[in-house]
Amino acid sequence: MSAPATRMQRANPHAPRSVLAVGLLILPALALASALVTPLVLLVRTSFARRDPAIYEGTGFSIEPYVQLVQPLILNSVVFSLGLALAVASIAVAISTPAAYCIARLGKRSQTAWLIGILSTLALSEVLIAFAWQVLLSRRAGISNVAVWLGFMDEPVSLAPGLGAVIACVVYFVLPFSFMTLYPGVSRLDRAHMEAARTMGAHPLRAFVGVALPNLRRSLVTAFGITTVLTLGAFVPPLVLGGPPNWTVGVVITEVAISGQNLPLASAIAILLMLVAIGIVAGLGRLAADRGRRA
Amino acid sequence: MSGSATPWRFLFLASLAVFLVLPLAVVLGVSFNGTAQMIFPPQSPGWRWYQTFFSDPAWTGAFRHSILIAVLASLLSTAVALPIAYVNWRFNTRFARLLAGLGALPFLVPSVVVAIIFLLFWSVLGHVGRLENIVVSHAVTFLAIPLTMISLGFSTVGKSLVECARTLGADDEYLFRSVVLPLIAPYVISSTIFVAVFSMNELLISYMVGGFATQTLPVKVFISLRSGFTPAMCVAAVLFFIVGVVGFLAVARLGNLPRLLGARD
Repeated sequence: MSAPATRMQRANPHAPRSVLAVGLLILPALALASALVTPLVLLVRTSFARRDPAIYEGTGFSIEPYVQLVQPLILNSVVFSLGLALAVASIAVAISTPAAYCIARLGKRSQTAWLIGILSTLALSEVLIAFAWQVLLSRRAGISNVAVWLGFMDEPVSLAPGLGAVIACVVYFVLPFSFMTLYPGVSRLDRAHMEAARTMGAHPLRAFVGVALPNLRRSLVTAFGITTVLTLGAFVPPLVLGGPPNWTVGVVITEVAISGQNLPLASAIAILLMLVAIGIVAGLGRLAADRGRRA
Repeated sequence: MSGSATPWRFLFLASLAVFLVLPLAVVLGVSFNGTAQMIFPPQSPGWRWYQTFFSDPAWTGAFRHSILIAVLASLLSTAVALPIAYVNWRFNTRFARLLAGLGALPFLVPSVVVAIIFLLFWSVLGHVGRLENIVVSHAVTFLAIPLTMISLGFSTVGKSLVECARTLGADDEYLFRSVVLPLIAPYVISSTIFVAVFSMNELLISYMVGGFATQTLPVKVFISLRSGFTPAMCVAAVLFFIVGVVGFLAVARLGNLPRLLGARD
C-alpha cells in the first residue's frame, strides 16, 4: 500500500497534499474527537468517581468502584462470560470454517444466495434471535413437538432456560460473523495447492486439514477473536434463555447501570471487560505471529 | 470436488441451512396464528397479528423511529468514513491512519461497553432520550463497516489508472469525480446499506441511550419480551428479517456480492 503511494507522490511533486488532506479530515476528526474520544475519556473518569444519588455519573474522586469490583456477583459473571466466549467461539469457528470452504466452491449464483441468507441472519438483532430461540425451545411451539410427532418423545418439554439454550442461541448469533471473516480468505485460497494435494492422492478431507487450514491461520485467529469479543458482550440470550447462573457480565453491567443507577461501578466493570477483550485480542494476535514465524 | 466428498458436503450444508432457517421459520409460523397463544404450527392462520401490529401506534411508532435512525446513522457514518478512507488511500498520512484506527475501535470492544460509554456521554451532556443521540451513537459504533468496505473499494482502483488520468492533466477533484467515484460507488452504497441494517437491529445502545422516550423496534420487542409474550413481536421479527433480506438483495444487485465482501472472483 505505502510503496505505490510514495511513487505516486513523486510523480506529482506539486500536489497540494497537506492542504487537501487536512481539509478533508477536519470534520471526521472533530466528529471522532467529540463522539468517540470524549466518551472514552468520560468512561475512565467516571470509573474513578464516587457514587452520588443526585448525579448519575457520580462526583469526586475515589477508587471505590474498583474496590467494589471484587465481589462474587461481578467476578463470577466475568469468569462465566470468558468461559462462554471461548466455548462459543470454538464451536462457531469449527462450524463456519468447513461451511465457508464448501460455499466458496459453489457456483456464483448459489454462492450469492448463501451470502444473502447468511448476511440476513448476521444483521438480525440479538433480541430477535433470542426471542426466536425462546419460541423454538418452548414447550408449546418448539422443536420438542416435532420430536413428539416423530415419536422420539412422549410429550413436549421446555428446553429453556439452561446453559445449552444460551450456547445454542449465542452460536447462532456469532456464526455469521465468523463465516464472513473467514469467507474472503477461504475464497482466495490458492486452488493450485489444493489441486496438487488432490493429484498426489490426498483425500479431500486430508487436503482441507493439511493444506487449507494452515494457510487460513490468520483468518481463523481473527474469526476466533471476533466471535469471542461478540460473545463477551452478549446480553439478551443469557437474560432470556438462561437463569441467574448463566448471567454474563453484560447482564450485570446493565443491571448495575439501569436498575442500580450506579454508573461509576458500571464504568469500572466496563473497563475491566474492555481490558479482558483487549487482552484476548492481543494474545490471539501474538499467537498468529508466533505460528507464522515457525511455519 | 470428487464424487466421494459431494454427498457429505451436501448433507453438511443442508443441516447448516436448517439450523439457520429453523428459528426464523418458527417465528414466521407463530406470527400467522389466529389465536393469542404461542403455538406452532399456527392455529386458524391469518393476518390478525399483522393488523394488530400496524394499528398499534406504539409498534408503528417504534418501527418509524428505527427506520429514521437507520437512514440518518448510515448516511452520517458513510460521510465520516469516506474522507478518511480517501485520504488514507491518496496520501496515506499518519493522521488518516490514526483516524481509521480510532474508527475501528468500537468494533473491538464488547457491545455492552460501547452502550455504557454512550449512556454516560449523553447523560453528562444532559441531552437524554433523544433520537439524534441514537443516530450519532450508531454512526460512530458502526464506522468500521464503511471504513473497511470503502477502503477495499479504493484498493481496487488501479494506481496506473490514476497516474494515467494525472498525466492527461486531471486535478484531484476531477480525478475523484470522474475516475475514482464511479469505481468505488458500489462499495460506498453497500456499506451505507450495511450500516442501515445493523442500526435497525441494534438493541443495547438504543436501549441505554434512547430509554423509554425514544423506543426503537428492537427495544420495544425487548421490553415486550421481558413483560410477556404477544404475537405482535413475531410480526416485528418478520419485518426485520424482510428489511435485512431486501437490503442485502439490493447490495447483491448493485454489484458482485462475493467481491464486495472481499472474496476473489
